[in-house]
Amino acid sequence: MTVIIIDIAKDFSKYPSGRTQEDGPASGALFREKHLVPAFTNNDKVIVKLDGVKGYPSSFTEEAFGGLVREGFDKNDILAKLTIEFESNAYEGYRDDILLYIKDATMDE
Amino acid sequence: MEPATFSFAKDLIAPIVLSGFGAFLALWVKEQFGKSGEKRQLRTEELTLLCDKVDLCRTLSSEYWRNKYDDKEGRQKEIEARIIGLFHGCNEILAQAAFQQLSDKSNISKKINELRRTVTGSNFGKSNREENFDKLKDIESLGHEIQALVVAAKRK
Repeated sequence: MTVIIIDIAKDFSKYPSGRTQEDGPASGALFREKHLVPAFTNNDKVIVKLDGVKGYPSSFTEEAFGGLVREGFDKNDILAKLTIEFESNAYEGYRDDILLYIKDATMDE
Repeated sequence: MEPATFSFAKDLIAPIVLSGFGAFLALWVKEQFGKSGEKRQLRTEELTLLCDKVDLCRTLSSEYWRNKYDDKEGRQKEIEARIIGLFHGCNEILAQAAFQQLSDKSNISKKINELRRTVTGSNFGKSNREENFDKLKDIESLGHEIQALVVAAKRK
């Protein structure tokens, strides 16, 4: 079984923001293409660490994780592989957002 | 009538032990009340801070969704960063130990996350945002609802 750990603050940015690449240098679309797509394609388990970032805008998390479903990834497969980790309870709401956006995303958006 | 007899254990030691236990109990009760008072004071201060942050979130978010900004001045990115940071600050306050016993915590937290999703979702971060009256109405209503919940929690 292959496992990959993505620490957003260390591996991507401490200031993730925006939906597409025209919205800024640390957008949800860039995070998806650079980290999530390869991780979900090549691994059985994907651990995403949320700590170290001073807040996630919903446009970023929706584009990154909901966008996976729109790109053709099966939402049940994503949910089975994905584990979201954080040390501080301040990140609970973002975890709930991510799971919600994956469940709510549809291919025809 | 039997003559009064002196018992060392009953007449001398027992009162000393009892009065010592009484003093210890009084001190323990005082200490527990003191600790609970300190916790309550800390929680009240944090709730006041939370109320201020929510108020600022509501005001800034309404301002953001009512206006378009000139990208050259960097004003939009600046206000976006402040909004994201303020919401995270609210979550950090609620994650503190003093709030773990607060019965309203889950409700307040749920509403703050709902407000955050409303504010920072859809086209948040895009320069071609349209003014959105439904969103503005939701921001104002949720913001006031959270502040009322926090004020009610402070009174408990």
